Amino acid sequence: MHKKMSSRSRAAAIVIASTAAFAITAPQIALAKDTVRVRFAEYSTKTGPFFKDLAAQFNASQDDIEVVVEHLPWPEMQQQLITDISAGTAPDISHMATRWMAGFAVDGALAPIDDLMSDGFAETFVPTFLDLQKVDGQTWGLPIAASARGMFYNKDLLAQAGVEVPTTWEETLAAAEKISALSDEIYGIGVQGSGLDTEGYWFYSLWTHGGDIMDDDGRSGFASDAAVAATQNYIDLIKAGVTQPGVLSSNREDLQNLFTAGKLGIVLSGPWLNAQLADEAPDLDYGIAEIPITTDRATYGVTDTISILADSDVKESAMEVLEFFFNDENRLAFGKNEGFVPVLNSMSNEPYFTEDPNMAVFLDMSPVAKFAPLVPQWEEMAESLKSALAKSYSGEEDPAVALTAAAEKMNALLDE
Amino acid sequence: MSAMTSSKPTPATTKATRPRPGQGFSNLAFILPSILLSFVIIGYPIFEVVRMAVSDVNRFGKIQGFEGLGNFFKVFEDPIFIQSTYQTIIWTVSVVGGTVLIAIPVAIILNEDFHGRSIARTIVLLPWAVSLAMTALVWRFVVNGDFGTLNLALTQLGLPFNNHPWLATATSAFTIEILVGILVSIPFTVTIILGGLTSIPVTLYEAAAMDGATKWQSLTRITIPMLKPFLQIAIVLNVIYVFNSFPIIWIMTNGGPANGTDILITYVYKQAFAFGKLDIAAAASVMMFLVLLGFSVLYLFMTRQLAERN
Amino acid sequence: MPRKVVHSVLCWLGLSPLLIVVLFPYATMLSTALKQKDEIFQFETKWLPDTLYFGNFVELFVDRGFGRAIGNSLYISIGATLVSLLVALPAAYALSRLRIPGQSAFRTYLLVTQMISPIVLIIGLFRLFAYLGMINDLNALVFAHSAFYMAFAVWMLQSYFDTIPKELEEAAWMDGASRLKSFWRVFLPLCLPGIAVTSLFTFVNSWNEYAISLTILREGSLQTAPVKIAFLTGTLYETEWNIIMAATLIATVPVAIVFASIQSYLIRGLSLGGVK
Repeated sequence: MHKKMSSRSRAAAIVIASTAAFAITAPQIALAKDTVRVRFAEYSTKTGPFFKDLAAQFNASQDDIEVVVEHLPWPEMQQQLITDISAGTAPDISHMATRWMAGFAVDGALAPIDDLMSDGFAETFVPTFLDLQKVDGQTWGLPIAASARGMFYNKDLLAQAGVEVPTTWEETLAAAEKISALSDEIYGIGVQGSGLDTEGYWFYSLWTHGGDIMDDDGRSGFASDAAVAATQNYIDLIKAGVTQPGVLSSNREDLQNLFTAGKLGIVLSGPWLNAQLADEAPDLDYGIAEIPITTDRATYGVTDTISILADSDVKESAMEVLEFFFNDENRLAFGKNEGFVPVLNSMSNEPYFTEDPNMAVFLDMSPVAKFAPLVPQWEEMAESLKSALAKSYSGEEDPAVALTAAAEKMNALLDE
Repeated sequence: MSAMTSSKPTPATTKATRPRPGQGFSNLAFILPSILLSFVIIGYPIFEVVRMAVSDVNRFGKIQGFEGLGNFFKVFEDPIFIQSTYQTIIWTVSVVGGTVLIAIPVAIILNEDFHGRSIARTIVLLPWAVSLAMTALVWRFVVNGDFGTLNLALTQLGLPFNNHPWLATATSAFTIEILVGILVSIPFTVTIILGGLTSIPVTLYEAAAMDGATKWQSLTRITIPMLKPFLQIAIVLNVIYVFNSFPIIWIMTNGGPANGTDILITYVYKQAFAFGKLDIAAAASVMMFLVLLGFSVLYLFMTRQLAERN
Repeated sequence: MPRKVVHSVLCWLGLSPLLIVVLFPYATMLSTALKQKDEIFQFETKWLPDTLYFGNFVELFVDRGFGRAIGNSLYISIGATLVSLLVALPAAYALSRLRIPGQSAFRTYLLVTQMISPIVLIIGLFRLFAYLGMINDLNALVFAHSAFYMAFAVWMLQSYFDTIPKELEEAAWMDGASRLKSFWRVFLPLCLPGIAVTSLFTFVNSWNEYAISLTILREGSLQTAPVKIAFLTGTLYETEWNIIMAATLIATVPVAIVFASIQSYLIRGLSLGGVK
């Protein structure tokens, strides 16, 4: 308590002092300034500074709203947001993964923004991405980041193995076999078996085998024939010994590191890997192609969301801040900074996205992008899917059996 | 507690009540601050947990109705909870058992008089100087298959571990995690045992030596029995700390592969913060608490019985 | 003394497996902390960097504000040590020397406070401190840590007090000193090593604590060292191992120095027998 009093009186002293100073130069001071707290999760070390800069620009541009930026690392984001909302100390605007959004919205933590957005603002977005922020007919946030996934391949390794860039899973297995044969230290293709986004790695195979996460009746598609075939596809790669060793302990980052070190021929990943490669392996000669198929072209579209919280007292001002962050110029700068695909219509024709082949491929695949469903218990469904995948990849359980258990769990959660 | 009292000129069991005998209640003032501090800071959150455990709660802890024992039944029905319980037992028993088994000889050596003893003691204590989260992070890097330094060192020694993935199966990952758990528990345990060793009066050994006892005999007849109360404390506290230890498993494997390394505390964390089921998490926490309480009471009771019989 | 030399060699040999396992991560930290970022994930893994690179340490302090984090950690750890001593000293003294009603209930209570992981209590703790207006207040951590580590301090101090002959105090009473005076003049000086060791335990536990600090201290400038290090790992797509290893090394140094300087006390102070 002591500390609080003293900091408050210190703050008062500062206010008085600065008021006095201002009184000489500026005759009028805005009395009730809205403070808008915005919380970002970091995509890279650039994220925090980028938004702090934007906030400073915004604060300097007008006198009614003061933006305060906080930034957190991703792994801590979910827990911190939940504790904050539970104690009523959440910020006015928060960044989150879109897959958490549905649960947050259902439990009343978010404010719908349909009536807050100014006219025409919603129309500036690529419709697919904005539609993803809607649950029960209302919009619960804006797509702050969007990415698609593609197939990164190491050109030198492919050339040494004498293989073309594969376009089907069959060709991929053959190519991976030849690449793996090059050396004990070189692996044909990466398969992810642990950590964040393990289920995403499986979706690539699921969708390109014609499967889907939910069937037409809104039930789980985890155990469909296509899903079993998709899983068998990865099991075949693992059994053939053409993947990295220890699939079950490899997370997304491990695969990226292997590719960066030149030990991996093929890996499925997103545009952010371009940044890591430019940074750590400038000499690596690589290309990006579409995800190999069996029946259907597909990619995994992922968005993150930025929302206004239900408890905010300054929702209008918060929307104003968001509209500033999402104006054409600021969005373009953000997209270039982090390497995300455009979420605004205006950016789709920017040379940065269309002319660089390492970006263009993601843009080309946007029309076939598929998304994870927006259901409140998604995290728990994904966890049981991950377990089923681990059991299948390790050969501990037959994939059909393991996936059926995950599908049953998902259906039970859908009924909750 | 005989070891403690025997080393003291005055047994602690006869309390000094000298100045004003019979005024025990005013002495409560001595312990009141400690009770107050912990009661506010630990008591309130415990109350919240218990309240959530018997309620229907949304993902932000808002209570939406009374649930009674419903959450407990749901927890029991979850096969992953049962699996985690089983794994928690393996984890706790292995880490605490391994720690005590290693710490006893290490402490006995560190109690010897030898050149560089203080350096050796400092090195043994080092794992304590790093937070568990950081230790786990560093070890995750060390055991990485392709880039980790463990495989690098083993390969340089000519062993076939070029890119061996240590965390890829549940058995191997759990073993590594248990070893790291032992490593970080050793400093605390060695310190307690060393404290016990220094409290054993030298005269006991001298008397034994005069009676012609060998070194081995004084070890098994004097040292180990005299260490018992210290081991008892080391075991109870370690069980409590290890049972509740979160960072090592969370950071190294997240409970995977396929829940094969999940223990109760990681189960609770996932339920609370990933799945948004605070009520289930709270119910599981209450059960964890009851298990620990049961263990402590039973263990302390048993060892006291044993001590009294001797 | 050739006999002692042989004995020493044997002792070191006996300890060597453990010492190697303890030091191995430090070798890893040092090796990685001295590398540039692009040297860590290379086709051939190597122990030594191509050139010794100290930039990670510079970056840690200049760009990442690690100095500030260490300052926060020191404030909290020292504060928690003092507060927990303040409440644990009288309690331990009373347990050791006075008759207290419900003495065994108090001991059980202390043990019970240790039985619940702070992780389980996080939401409640956060709500409590939010209610008290102490989110983003270093003092919240001082109180939280002292509450959690106090029980251990009581046990240690009590067992230490038990080893101090009561006759010494009684002699002082006979000389006409008041109870308080004899406590200050006779008792406390004798216990200093025990107090030092207890302080070290609390200090180290507080220095390493992660979950509560993470939850209560939201502002970057208020973060403690372990949280800061974790935040360095936290960008979504890659972990900055070079910086993490440098930070972990730095965070170890102060504690290691304290260990080295008081390890002989540490052993003597720990004649622990308190949990009955």
